[in-house]
Amino acid sequence: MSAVMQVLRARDVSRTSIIVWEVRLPRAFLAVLVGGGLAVAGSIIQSLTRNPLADPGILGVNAGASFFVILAASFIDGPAYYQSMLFGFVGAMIMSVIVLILGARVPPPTLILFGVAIAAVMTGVTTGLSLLFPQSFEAFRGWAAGSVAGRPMEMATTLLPFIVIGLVLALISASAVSQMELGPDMAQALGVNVRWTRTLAIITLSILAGSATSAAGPMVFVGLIIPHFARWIVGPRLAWVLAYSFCIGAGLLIVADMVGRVLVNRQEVPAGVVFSFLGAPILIYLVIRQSHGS
Amino acid sequence: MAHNLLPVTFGDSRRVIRGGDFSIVVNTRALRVVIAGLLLAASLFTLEITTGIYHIPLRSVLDVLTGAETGFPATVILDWRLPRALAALTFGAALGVSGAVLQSVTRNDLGSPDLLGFDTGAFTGVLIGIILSNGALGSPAPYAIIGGFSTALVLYLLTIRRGLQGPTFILVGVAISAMLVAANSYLMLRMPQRYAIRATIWGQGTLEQVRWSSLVWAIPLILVLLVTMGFLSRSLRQLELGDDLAHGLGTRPSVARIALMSVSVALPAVVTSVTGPLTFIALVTPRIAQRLARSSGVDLLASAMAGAVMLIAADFLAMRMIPDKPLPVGVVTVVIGGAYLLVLLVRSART
Repeated sequence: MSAVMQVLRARDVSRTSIIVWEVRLPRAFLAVLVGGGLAVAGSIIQSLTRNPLADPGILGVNAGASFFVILAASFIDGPAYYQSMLFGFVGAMIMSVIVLILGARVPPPTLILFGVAIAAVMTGVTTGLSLLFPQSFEAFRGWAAGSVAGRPMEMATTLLPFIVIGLVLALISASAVSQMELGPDMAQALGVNVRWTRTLAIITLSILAGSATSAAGPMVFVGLIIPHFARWIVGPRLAWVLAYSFCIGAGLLIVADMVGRVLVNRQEVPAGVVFSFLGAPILIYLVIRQSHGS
Repeated sequence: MAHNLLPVTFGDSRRVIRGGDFSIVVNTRALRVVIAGLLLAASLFTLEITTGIYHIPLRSVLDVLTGAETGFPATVILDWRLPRALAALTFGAALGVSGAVLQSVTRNDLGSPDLLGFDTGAFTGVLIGIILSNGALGSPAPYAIIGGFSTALVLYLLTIRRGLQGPTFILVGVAISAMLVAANSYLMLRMPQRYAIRATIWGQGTLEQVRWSSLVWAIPLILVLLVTMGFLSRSLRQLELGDDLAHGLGTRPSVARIALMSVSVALPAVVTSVTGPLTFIALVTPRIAQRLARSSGVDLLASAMAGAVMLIAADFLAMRMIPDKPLPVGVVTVVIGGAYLLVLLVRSART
């Protein structure tokens, strides 16, 4: 620990310094941004669809983003980080618009199956592309399962402004979005500009989910379970839920990443895989509890 | 609003075939569909065997089959193309039937073994088998079947209070499936590199690695299961009338349901043990078969036919879509099936 503090204060060319600055620090930094960003996106999409089972990962928003990131890699030769994040944003945006249009018409469980279908198509196409053009997808190996390992610091610093903008927008729109939970008619009666709020929330959600996905690959369940934890702790006020979601999401993704590092000898299990394994039972619990309620 | 006046229909055209003290009712439309399917399957089969990088005219194929030709074409046909094409037909039929029965028992278009995670679970079993046997896995089928059944059992126990027929069942299945996908990637990381590479190819669902050595047990096993399903199809019909009526007709609903479910878990498990998870064939084909045959319930024969045609067509497409770059068939089925699922859901949203 003291060695770490020392190289943090004065970066040098020692081995410790290189490990800390080039491997561990970007990784931890990314885990914080990605985990926090996806968790906040999850809280927003849960409020917006009024569906406690919603998650940008499950609903295919992340799959849309990753598909566009892959597209960027096929069109642009060696896209810069900000370029793939912009592509990810567009993909996430398209998917969240579709999800919201559909979400207004189908019951919560059907919406999730929709996400499964989207994710299946996107995964199939992505796998196909990566098998056909192995060279251009070299950089994406290990990315598909959702991981924060082996990224340079530059990626984290590119991601930072995206996440910060997303968080600021999320806090600005929080009170209006939470009134939307009462239903669009009620929200309108309370003086909320429904169309504007919805647009703002979709943009926010897409910035967060799109940029996080383009950095870490499609991750499922982060945005599903963390808002639930946050609500257990702070109750239903959305602004607080957002703040707590960010912290818990960041913390849990770091934990998942660490678990993945020690799980197998000399190999790493991607954090996204660890998260799916832990998150799926919670989804099962939520589904069963919800069905007992209804 | 005026009612739409539709002409009165009396169901499908049927013929009764009698012989001695034996008679069956045949749905003639379904029969025609099955015959058309057979012809289509046969032509795809011929296409898959004769074409490719190494083109073999039909005449030499016949020479090979009769034993007149024993050179390189014989190796290509007998060792590579024939097992692959045969596997595509039988496995497709197995998946089609399994999907049809599960969809009927759960009374849900989405109740198919792939969506519920039975394929993924079977594959988990195979991966565990590879690790336990240190790569020297003789026959993966027992592991696949245990894996598939454990998945089904967990799903059944978790949803026992809500019944099989509802969104909870499907959703919990989807969640279990997600968890098993994660478990599979963990297992693949844990195994030594030399098995992991093969397992990764396998994990995408492919007919590339099909050899006679696995077909000699897989095809008979599937045929036995299909025949068993044929015997059970009577109680399937009765269950479609509802539990009370089925009971009145002499079927014990719970027993019949467990038997039907067991066979339809075993079928995709056997397929998965040879090819890896071939998703979405079982989801898509029963509906197509039902449409074509215009049957009131599921039609097992038509579903088997549709599954066989679908898988061999998908495999042909996967091999030849992009010249010199064959894709695993699982990639094609997942895209087709996912797109179909989307259409299904969007349509259900509209009504």
